[in-house]
Amino acid sequence: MLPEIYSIDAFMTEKDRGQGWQAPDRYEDIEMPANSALGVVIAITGLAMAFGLVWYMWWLVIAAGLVTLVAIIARGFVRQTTRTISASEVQRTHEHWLEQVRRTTPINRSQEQTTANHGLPVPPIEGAVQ
Amino acid sequence: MSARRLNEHEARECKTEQRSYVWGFALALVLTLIPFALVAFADIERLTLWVTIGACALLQVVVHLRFFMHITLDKNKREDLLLILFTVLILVILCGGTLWILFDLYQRMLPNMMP
Amino acid sequence: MSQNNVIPIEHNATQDAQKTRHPGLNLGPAHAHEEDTREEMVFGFWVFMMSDLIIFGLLFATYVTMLGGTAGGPGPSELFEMKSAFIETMLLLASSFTFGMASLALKYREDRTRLVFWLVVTLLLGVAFLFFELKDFHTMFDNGGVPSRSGYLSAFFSLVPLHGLHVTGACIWLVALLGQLAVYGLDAPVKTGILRLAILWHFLDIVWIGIFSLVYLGGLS
Repeated sequence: MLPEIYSIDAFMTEKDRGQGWQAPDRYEDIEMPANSALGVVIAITGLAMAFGLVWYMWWLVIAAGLVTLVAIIARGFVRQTTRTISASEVQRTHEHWLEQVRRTTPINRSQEQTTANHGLPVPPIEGAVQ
Repeated sequence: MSARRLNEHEARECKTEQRSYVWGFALALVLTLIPFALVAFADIERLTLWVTIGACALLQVVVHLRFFMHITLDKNKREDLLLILFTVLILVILCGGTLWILFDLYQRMLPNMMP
Repeated sequence: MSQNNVIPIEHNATQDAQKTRHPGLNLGPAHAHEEDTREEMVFGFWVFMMSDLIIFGLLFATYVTMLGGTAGGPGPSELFEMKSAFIETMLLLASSFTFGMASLALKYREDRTRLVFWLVVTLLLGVAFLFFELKDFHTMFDNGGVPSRSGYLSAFFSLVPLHGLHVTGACIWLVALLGQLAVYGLDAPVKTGILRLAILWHFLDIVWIGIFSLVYLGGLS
């Protein structure tokens, strides 16, 4: 499912040739980073620490520093750092998307500003007025 | 988990590496003791002393990189060596430029800032 | 999937440990699984370490330019003691060596007891170093050597305590790794963590070479 890039603006070229939105030969699992609260925690403690430093509120600086430290150490104990999107889920989502594309009526430039525009253009190969 | 039993090859390798660490430690120790001893006991000219301290420090850095961090001239370790050398180049430009500009200014405008 | 966009790394199982791609502390062929993740992580950590080196280098340069800026306050010869600088140097050098022994215990034996022993020795040496450094700063404060006294002392207190802060961070990291070791055993994240901490630890010793040569010995000669 990784896009194969063979030219600059490959998706554009595909659409120009009327070959966009193709189903791949096979679907594979996608490994993604798992969600983590660390970023949000550090965003908050960082703000608190900066505020404390500006206004000489040392207790706040120390507290924010400690929370940051504990959060980073706790993050080290997390072993589930990736999440896998299964091939079947990738297939389901992508096929749903392709189906949606198939059901959408393509439009040309002159209709771009109307409500008929659902985001799918007529490719130039089929003689669209550009 | 208990200790893994080493085969003959691994045991030999382990010995070699252990010896390399001991060598590194001994060399670093000597290169530390020389400047400390010179400053503490010897009565030599300041410039000579500084040059010796600097040379010992540079050598010790190389010893640490070679024996503790295993940076060698091997082809397969080039990337890290290049990374280090590039950083050193940047450092030389930044630090050398800083010292050059500031001491030039001191000489022209702030003679009492000269150490 | 994610393997597809990774540049393939020539991997030859018969290669002996000396020939693995990256320096630092190679785990060797007995740790085939960890070897793959290690390559990228260790190199990335080297890049980080080098950016840290730039910071230290510039603080060294600042220190040198501020040597004359004592503003009538105490200078290096009144503030530094050779003895404590020497003790600190020895402690840090010894800790670098004991960390090397820990890495060997990890690489060849996967021996937890031996590994933990050397890591704890390293930790104690690091803490002892910090103790002596803080004592040093205390004596300096007593002799009027506070950061706000002069430009020279400001430069000193941004360079040397920053190194001390790094050592503190490394000690905390070491304790956290010992905790992970206790909970998960010697799994891949723990092993790569120890490898990266080793780089940090040896690197801090290298920075200390600069500090004792330039700041302490340079100031006392």
